Amino acid sequence: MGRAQSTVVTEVMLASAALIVGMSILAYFLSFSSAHSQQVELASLVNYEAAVQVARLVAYDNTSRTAWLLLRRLDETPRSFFILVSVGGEFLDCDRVYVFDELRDTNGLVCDSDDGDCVSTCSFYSGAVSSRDVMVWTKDGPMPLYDYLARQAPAQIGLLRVPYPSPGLGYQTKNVIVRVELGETEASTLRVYLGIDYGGRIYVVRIYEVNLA
Amino acid sequence: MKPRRGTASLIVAILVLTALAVSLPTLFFYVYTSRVRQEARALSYLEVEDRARYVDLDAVAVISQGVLELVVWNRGGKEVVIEGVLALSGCGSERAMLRLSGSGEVLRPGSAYRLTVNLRDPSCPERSVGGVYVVTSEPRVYSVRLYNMTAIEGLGPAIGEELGALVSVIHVLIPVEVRADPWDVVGVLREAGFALAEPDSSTSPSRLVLSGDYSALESGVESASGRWISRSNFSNVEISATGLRVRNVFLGYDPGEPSKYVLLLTNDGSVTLNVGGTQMAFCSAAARVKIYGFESSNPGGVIYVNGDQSRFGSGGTWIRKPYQDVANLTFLDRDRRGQIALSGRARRVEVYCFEPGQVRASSYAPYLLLMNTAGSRGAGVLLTTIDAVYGFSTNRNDLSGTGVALQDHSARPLALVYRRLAIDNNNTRAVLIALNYRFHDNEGQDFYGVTVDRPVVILGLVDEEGRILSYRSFTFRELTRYEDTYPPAAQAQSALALIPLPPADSAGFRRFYVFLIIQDPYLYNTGNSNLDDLDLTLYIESLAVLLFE
Repeated sequence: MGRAQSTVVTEVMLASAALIVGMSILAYFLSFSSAHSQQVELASLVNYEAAVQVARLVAYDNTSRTAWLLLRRLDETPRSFFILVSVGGEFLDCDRVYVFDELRDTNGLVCDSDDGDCVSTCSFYSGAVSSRDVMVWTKDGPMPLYDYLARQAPAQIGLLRVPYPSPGLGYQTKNVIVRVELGETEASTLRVYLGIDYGGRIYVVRIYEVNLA
Repeated sequence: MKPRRGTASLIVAILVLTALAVSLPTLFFYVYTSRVRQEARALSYLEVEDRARYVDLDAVAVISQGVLELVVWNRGGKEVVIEGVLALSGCGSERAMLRLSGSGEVLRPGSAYRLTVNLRDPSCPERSVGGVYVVTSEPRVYSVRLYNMTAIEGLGPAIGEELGALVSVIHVLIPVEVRADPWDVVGVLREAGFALAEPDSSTSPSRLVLSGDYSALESGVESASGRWISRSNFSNVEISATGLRVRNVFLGYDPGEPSKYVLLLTNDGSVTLNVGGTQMAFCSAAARVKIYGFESSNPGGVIYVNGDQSRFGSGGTWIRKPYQDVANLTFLDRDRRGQIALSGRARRVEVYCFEPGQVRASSYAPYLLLMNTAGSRGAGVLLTTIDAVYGFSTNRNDLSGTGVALQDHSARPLALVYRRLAIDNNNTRAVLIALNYRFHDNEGQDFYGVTVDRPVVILGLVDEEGRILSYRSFTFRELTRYEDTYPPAAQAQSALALIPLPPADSAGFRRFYVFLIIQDPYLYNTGNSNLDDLDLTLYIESLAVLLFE
């Protein structure tokens, strides 16, 4: 191998090494950017959902300890609600929260037991999540619900899925009426945690609180 | 070719920099635009929800004999979509939520939605209702005030007061809804919710005492040299006049029937009218003629006016409709009488004559006219003490051609308290009172014609015990800046008075009402009768109240 050839090989090797280092830096940067982009996307989504999801108290019957809530998506996109409902510090399981199905209503009574228009949320999702895995979006960023509630939250809490009444399925209304059985709980504060499912994790975007006293 | 030393590094560096230069702006652009898009969309939905703050619904439901009747009024300025009406009901020990309507009804501002539902059900003959809820598209849920007729009958007249105390964002007190004959000023004001009151001072009041009736108005005005008496009243008559010499004409739309007109004619002498086919001469010293529900039979217009050529042209002109400026037909021919002609049918004609003498107390009736200048229903309040002509600081105002002094003033101010709107300091933080008005006077030298500045309009808040919380007064020297005595011009004026309420947690619970005082505070100066001798015209076009909760 002549001297000139040796120089060419050396230059090629050096150039290849420099190219590999450059590509590695670029790959790292793109990876970092992607992670940051996801964070930004999540923040934007949370802001958007916080503006779009609305909860209201319709009525509270203190004799039967029943609360009637209204849920609505202002953008009217057919996405399910993921909610947590608490009375005092107690989070309600799906067997105490019912959804009114207007298509099944035949007697003009909302969510009664006669015509099958009162569907338990257990039929949509039945399960609990760890309060450490549910994140509340605060002004300082996401925080586990467990910490948000000053570590007073139960370890496992009932997650409720409420389907949106899609017009494609024949629903006229844009509102979801939810019946909540409060039971014997003495507490007077009802909270509805409105959340989203993002990457398999629940993020609370808005908390609706009402005093029932 | 032999590669130069460092060429490879340079190539790599260029490659890396190129990659960065291409990817970074692309990445930032993507992140930025996606975020802006999301935030813009989020903001638009926040606006949708925020719009609910400006929705103002009043809803009342009455249940009688198993039938629920619901009325929802949209008192705000935006359309509201009612998406559903729900009712929490009971049948024995069972509770149920009834779906009364899923209407999707669009409710325009000022309109009402009515719903009647038969609650009788074979499965439940005695269904009770504990609450009715109106759901709107924002969405908001309004709890309806619910009355059971059985309970209402037991309550008697008290329920009327409760229904009257409806709270909404804007309350319009004037124009007054005309529920009585428009010539029945007392009846109209009383039906509208105004009560007459007596202030402890006409210049700086601190208390208002509510009067049980309006009899104080029967002697509320004092004149300089006599009194006004009611001479004749006619109902549903043909009326005409040709070449009738008068000083001033006040023309407005009839507040009960805006297709018709109301007129007030004043003259410092007699007037001759053809009433019901009979030519009649009324009064000698001075006359005031009020005509209500006038329909002109002449296609030319409402009234023909001849006077100052610069205003009415040579030979006069037809006035086809009322002017917004209520002073436009005053002093028809400067300091001389003008001439008018009219013919048509009137619902009522009232003639008042001035009777010179020592008795100088008169009723407010000759001076007041309920009318409006917009051609809509509802009455503004016109008060005019101008009978004849203008004057200056060197001669007497409102002096008749035969030397009769026709100055008048309010011995008792016309003080009105609006009792239908109770304003409580436990749910209201401040009150904004808005007044639209016009003012005109017969003092040619404006504020040089008076020695003392006195209030013509006072508006404010008074509590249940008659203590005035605060007020805004409008004095002559302030008002006269925006008028011209001749050529007559009463500029449209408006004023706002914001009155904060004392908080209930520190001042205790207090209930307030809006009051309005109007008056002519000048008769004449006893030292120099050429001063303080003005008369005036005041037209209250609107009075509205905004509550800040």
